[in-house]
Amino acid sequence: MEAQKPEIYGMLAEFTTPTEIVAAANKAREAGFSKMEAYSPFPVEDLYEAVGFKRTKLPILVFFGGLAGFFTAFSLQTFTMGGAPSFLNPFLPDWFYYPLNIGGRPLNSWPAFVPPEFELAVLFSAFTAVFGMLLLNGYPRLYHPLFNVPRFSGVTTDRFFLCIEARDPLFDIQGTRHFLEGLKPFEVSEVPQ
Amino acid sequence: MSMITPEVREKVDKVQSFALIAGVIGLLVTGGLIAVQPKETLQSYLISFLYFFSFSLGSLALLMIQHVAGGVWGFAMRRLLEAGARCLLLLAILFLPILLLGLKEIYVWADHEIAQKDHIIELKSGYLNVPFFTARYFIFFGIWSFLALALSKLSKQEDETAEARIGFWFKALSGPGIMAFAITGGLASVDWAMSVDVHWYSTMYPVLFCFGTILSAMIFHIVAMILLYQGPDLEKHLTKNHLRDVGSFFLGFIIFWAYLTFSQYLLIWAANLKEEVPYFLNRSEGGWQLVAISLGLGHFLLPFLVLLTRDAKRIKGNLLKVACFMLFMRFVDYFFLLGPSFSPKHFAFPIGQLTSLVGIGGLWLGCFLWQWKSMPPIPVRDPRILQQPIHGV
Repeated sequence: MEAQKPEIYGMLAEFTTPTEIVAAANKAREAGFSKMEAYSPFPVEDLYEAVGFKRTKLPILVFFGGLAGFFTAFSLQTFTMGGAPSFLNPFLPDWFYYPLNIGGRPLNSWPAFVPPEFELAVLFSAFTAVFGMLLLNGYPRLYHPLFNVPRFSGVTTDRFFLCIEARDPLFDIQGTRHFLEGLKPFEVSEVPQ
Repeated sequence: MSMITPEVREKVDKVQSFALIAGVIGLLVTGGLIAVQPKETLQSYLISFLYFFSFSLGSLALLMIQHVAGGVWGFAMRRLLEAGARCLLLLAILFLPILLLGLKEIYVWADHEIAQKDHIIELKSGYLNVPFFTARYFIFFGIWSFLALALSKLSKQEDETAEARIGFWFKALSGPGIMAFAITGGLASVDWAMSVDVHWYSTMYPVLFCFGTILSAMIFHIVAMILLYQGPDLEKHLTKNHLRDVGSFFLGFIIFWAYLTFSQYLLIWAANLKEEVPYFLNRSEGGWQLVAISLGLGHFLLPFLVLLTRDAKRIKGNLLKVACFMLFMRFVDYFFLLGPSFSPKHFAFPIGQLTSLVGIGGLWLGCFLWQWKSMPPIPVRDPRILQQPIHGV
């Protein structure tokens, strides 16, 4: 079922100013390309919209991360104080129950449980935000085909790159190269896989 | 050329005269009710007063904060904040019924006979006595009115002369002004609200009260911006990103309110001292517990979850709905602050509550709109007008 991997990763156009790359990305999007990515040495406003950046699933993940943290702290405190539902009893070890009498307060003292619930909700959502962001961005990743283009190292100093990837349905080597050259870039290069 | 479109101006004029008429009628009915059942009506009057007072004092606080902190959010909101702060002069007058008629009806310590029999009140009488209370009323409103009028006057000068040193004076006045707000606002909360439960005290109370005014004002001005900023000249100062900024403030403030409210409860619950717990015992029976739960759900959980989503903050209609709902919940919060102290363990909503709300609210809203129209709605000489984001670098 696996499709034959294309020989090349995509077609890379190099620009020298942020204004040019925003205009180029807009034109590429209007021409119907959807699988493209822009690379710049610093954040460029409007570039997100220009490359057709879709909203990520990260906020939803973070929400459920926070919820998981909340319920972890809630269950830990309630269950150790003896509040576990009875159908769980066969599965819980003896040492799991550790009811504490604190100044004669009831075992199920929900107000006292709130601060740890809040803390864990914040901790878990922060972890989800950081690690989820890395995973959704495709990290950890040690190699990227773009490194095959020597001129791409300029992206860390003063060059802006627009790459139309080979997995784009409209991609064909001659046509895309021709299209990118029409955008008046500094240079267009093929990116080998 | 006016920035306000004729349609908006016409509507504002209509709402203003309607509010003023409703306010006068409301106050007259409240006055009649004071003659019939003075205690309940004056107590309700205090709650209504504090609710609308929070919009004005919070406006003053936010006005000073945005002068010191900068930011485009404060630039667009500035004239609304100034108008809200100037209404403090009206509120100084509206406090007079409490001062002249209501002290003995509302505050136990103001009654000499009771005060002499109660050892705790006797010990507090060095601070809680009628002459000193009256003097503090003058000091508080003196400081607030001075700040509100001085900042408005500078604003007017800025419009006329556009001198750069006025920006310095804004900051020079606002920095100490914020300190004065924290001290006077905290003391006013002790005077007007906390001393109703004369034996009880909480160190979290003044913080919660001062912050509550800021929260009220932020919500009110979000509603005001969305409704009033129409037409090309004003709409460009209320973009989606701008709405997201004030929406984020809104969300953060709600979380902080929940944090403060819950901290006060948790500490008193955990310490379990007999001087402190009656405050919450009065609020956990006879219907009041339902009000408490509705605050937890409606004043925190619901708006928190809704405002987490991006569209609730960026789309005018959505943010307006949340903010209007929260304006109602702010009233529930003020009602819960004092209602159970006046009627412990037994829910009560006197008719005077409704009439005083209409009375004070009508006059306040009318005054606010009148003041808002008296200045250009955008401070065009504020250097922040140039801080528009530059796209594509």
